[in-house]
Amino acid sequence: MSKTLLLIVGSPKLKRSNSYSIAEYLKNELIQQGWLVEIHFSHQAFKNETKMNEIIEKTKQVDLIGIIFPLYVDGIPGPLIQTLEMLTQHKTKRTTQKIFSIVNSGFPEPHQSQLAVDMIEQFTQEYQAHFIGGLTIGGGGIIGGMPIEQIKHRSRRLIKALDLTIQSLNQTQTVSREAKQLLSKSVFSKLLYNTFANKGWKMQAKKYGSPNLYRTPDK
Amino acid sequence: MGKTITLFHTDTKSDPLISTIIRELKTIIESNEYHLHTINVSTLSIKPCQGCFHCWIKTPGSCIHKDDGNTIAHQYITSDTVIFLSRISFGGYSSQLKCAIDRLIPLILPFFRKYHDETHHKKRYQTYPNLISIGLLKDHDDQKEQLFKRLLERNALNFTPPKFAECIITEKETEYQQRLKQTIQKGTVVV
Repeated sequence: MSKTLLLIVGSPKLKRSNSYSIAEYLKNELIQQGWLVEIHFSHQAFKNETKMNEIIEKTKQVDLIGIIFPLYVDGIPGPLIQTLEMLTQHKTKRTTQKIFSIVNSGFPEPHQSQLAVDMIEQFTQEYQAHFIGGLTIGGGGIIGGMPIEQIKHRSRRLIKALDLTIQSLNQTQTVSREAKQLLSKSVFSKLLYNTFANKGWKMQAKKYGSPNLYRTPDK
Repeated sequence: MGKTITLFHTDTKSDPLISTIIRELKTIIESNEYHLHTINVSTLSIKPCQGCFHCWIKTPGSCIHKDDGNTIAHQYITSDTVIFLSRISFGGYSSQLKCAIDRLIPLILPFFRKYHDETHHKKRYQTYPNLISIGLLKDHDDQKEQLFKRLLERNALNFTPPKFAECIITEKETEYQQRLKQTIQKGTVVV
């Protein structure tokens, strides 16, 4: 089996996203292990036939597909669903391809993203490939869109889980159970995370003149 | 004036079953003192949420995109009951509808609260509409149906509808009208 991996990032923030930080970390580490890895963004394929066709063709050429995205209203972001719909429409037969998923969420509880992982598993079945597992990251906000190498001090648990994932993908094309176990709790203290998150919004609002954050324009 | 039920649905031209269900819903709902307002999201100009969080910190409660996304949010929060109707994609809403639903994020606050022993966003508004989800499948599929039910339960934790209900209808079904009526009953005050 050749070592080829396509990472589909499903965040609208593209290279500034936490999902891209994770994807890039996986890519950089796996390339050192002899893998060919490409990252593509589903949001760039939204209503863009050329880009969508490019992604469809790329998925046919790889052994392994990773779908990495932020939780959006308890599920998969709309544009990523469109990419997955198009992929299933263009799939004609069962293959030995393997698919995994990593879902990160601003909520500290990782289980809140489990439904989204299960939806990717459902997609994999319709795509007639093999689902090898998914990871859910709670408290993903601590990544802050930064390269993972630069935030290693923020969560050793997250880094270890990603390293174990890289190891298991490389050696056995599976998702590490130990990584799942490590990520079964928030990657950061829940109390501190919620406290900083709530304060953080107010601090961010200052650069826009501290508008009334409780505004109710529709009622 | 009677209560308003807003139905957000996907394209009817490419999916005749959507049209059929809409006709059934009109019959059920408008036979009482309810007004059914239908919104075909496929005809609207809705950019995907860009994840900028400006609806939380720069223009609180409103998206910075000047398109129909704000109309969607306004219509959602000012309705008594909202119905989502689409094909089920991988256990959830189809991409067309989900892109519209993603634009409802301005309706909640960025701040966290503990709710049902989990972290969720605080409510921006005092009251939220009831929520009914109707998903369409080609054939019965336990896994997809379970995912769809779980999705509504998760959505209910974040959008806090006073009542919520789901109904899944397959193409081959001919006797779903009673189930649909019961779903509307369960998800609204009185039908």
